[in-house]
Amino acid sequence: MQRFVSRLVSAPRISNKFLESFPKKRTINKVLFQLDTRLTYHEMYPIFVQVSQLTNKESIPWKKKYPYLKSSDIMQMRNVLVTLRMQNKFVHKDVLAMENKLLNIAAELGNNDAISILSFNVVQAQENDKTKDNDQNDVETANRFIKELYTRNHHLTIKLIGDTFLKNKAYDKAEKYYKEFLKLENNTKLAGEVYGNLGEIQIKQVNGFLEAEKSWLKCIELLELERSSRWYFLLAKLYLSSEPLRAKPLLESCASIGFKDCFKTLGFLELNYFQNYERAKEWFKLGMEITDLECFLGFFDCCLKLEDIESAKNCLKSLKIFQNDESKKVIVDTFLESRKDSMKLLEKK
Amino acid sequence: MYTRLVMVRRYATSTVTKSYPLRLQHLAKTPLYEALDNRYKSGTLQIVQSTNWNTKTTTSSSSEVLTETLNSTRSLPMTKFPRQEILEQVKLDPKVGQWRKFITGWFRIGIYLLKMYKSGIQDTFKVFWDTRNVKREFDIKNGSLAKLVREIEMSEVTIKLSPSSLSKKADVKAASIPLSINRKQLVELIRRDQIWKLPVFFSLVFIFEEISALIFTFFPRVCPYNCLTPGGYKKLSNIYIKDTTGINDNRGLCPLEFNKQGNIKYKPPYAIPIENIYSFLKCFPQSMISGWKLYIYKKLKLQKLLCDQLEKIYQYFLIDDWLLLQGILKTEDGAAKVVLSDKELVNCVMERKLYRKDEDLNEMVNDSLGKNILLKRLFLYWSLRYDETVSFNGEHTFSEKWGVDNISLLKYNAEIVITKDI
Repeated sequence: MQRFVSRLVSAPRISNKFLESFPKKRTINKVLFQLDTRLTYHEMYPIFVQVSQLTNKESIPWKKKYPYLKSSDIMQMRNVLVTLRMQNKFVHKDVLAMENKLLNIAAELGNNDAISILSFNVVQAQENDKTKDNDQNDVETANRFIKELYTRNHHLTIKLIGDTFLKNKAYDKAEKYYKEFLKLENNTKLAGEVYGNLGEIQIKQVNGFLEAEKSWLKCIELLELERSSRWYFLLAKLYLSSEPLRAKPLLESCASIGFKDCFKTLGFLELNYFQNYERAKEWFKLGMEITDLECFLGFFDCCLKLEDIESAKNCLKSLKIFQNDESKKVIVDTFLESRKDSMKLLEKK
Repeated sequence: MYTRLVMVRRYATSTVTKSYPLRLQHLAKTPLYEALDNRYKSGTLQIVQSTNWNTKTTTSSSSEVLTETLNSTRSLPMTKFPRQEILEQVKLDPKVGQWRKFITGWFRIGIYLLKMYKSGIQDTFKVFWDTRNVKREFDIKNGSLAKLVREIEMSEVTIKLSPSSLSKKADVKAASIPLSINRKQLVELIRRDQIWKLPVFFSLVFIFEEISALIFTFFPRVCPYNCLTPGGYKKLSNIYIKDTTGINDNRGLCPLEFNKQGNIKYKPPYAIPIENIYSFLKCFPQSMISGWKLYIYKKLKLQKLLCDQLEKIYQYFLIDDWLLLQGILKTEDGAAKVVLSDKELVNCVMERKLYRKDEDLNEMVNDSLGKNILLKRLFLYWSLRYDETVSFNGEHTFSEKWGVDNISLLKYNAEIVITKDI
């Protein structure tokens, strides 16, 4: 009894704000299993609570308080939150703040990955002119850290250098750093991302599509769907004309996680190539929910094929609303002009 | 960012443009048709007979030398059987007595046939042996054709992205973009499987000797392609066209449907009934899959697998057409002559089914008017598919013009054959 009471008294008080924003135990456990983390939920939870209550000025002796804790564990905790954010496609500002706090703590504890990410954040912020002049020292320190980490062959740093060059459209340099990274590490999730980006550089080169295809195949092999949907879609685009049968499952995978560009592509593939009008109609319906004009066009054709007059008429009404938009007016007009005969039939019915 | 990929296929354009009908009558007035026709009339493109029966070596009968990378005459059958010439030669030979002229004449024809079979068998072996390295690089039965189609697509995108493409092309020219395979290698890869006909063929020739020619006339499918006589070839072409379409009607095989007004309407491969796909695949001269497999697919109604095979053939046509057109319309040395073999012309027409039942393609190609008709059919077919594509004279890629499904545009087109424009 005494033990129970003392535990109640010593346990940190958990704010309602935290309880509202923090995911449920079962969800976290699933991610912990996916990421194969060293710490369990029970070991992580008090740290999460404490981090959420942490203010900027406060410094906590983490090592003393949690002797089992390593800097890599903090990064894993951050990864848990990042993964959840990617999976749910939902950003909660408190959880995002917690991610940043975890990153800072990991850097304080000497984690190279965290230092690297923070340094690049500082450099990028300076490039975007977001920082003020008095932060010049931070930039210099960040650059020093990056150089130091690069000389030590720190994997993430090499990848982030590549990313920076890619962002600045210096493709040759980006490719060089990505290849350097892949020499050090080629079978991790991080390598998956590098393969994806490398593919995007290679496709820009003349006759680079074969290498791009290889890179993207490797990428989707290493990364989970949530993080590689973009490369699934690009690979499907590459196959679309020459091997539609290979493109279809890739696009369906993208659609399963709600990649918005793939609905119209899938719809037209089913409508024009596989002649499965019912399925095409369903894909277009999904696309129409995000008001994709091309999906309306496809849906109208599907309705005509399936002789669903009522839906076709409704779709036509919606299309006429699009005519008010100057940018879309031309497409809608051309489409309506080309379907003149079908519309006459519709009016008769 | 992914402009290159986005350009591969734009659905917005295709959805709208697909419904516009194309009229056959207009094909003969298209820039591509006119450019091809001009090349032929000006002598830049020449069709020559590739073998002379009276010479032991396979040299050109005319002074022209066949374009090395476009022709593979060794893998194709003869277009003219010199029966009359041999008989005439015996008739004029004073060493042969009058009483034995008839027997000697037919004996020499038999000898000629056996020699032709011998060289046919040798050539079949040579084709198989010479293409072994290419086969390692391009496994056409397992996705290499699709890769080559992608290569063409990407080169089209490159042309489109280049600044020079912004200005409208004044005349039809093919940008000189080398493909990783040349036409000779491609067609020989397709034709190399003829070697598997040799065991049965060889045994029949060994048993029946000269009479085997009679057997092969009735059963031409037993014979390797390059050992066919014109008679056997005609029978084969009739079988192929009969099984694929009716005499004058169009059974809707392949993406386009032709109506009576001469309009061409889009029809994708998955809309084709299984029976029609089966008969088309069975009637393709250089089948890439065995007949029993096709039969099982048909019986089990495995449409996907049948369509997959159909697509491979269409991909082959796309690459073949592209390589031929590149060869004929290349820009770098526009003045240089392109010499095609008559065998290749006949084969192109037969593979694409641009003929009617009972037409003897070999006889036609040996007659100047017939040769012109065959060539113009081929030009019309190419104009339909490739006019206004970025590789030649237009602004759109092939995918943009025909779409993902339309890539496999090929069909027996009765109206191309009977159109008054030719």
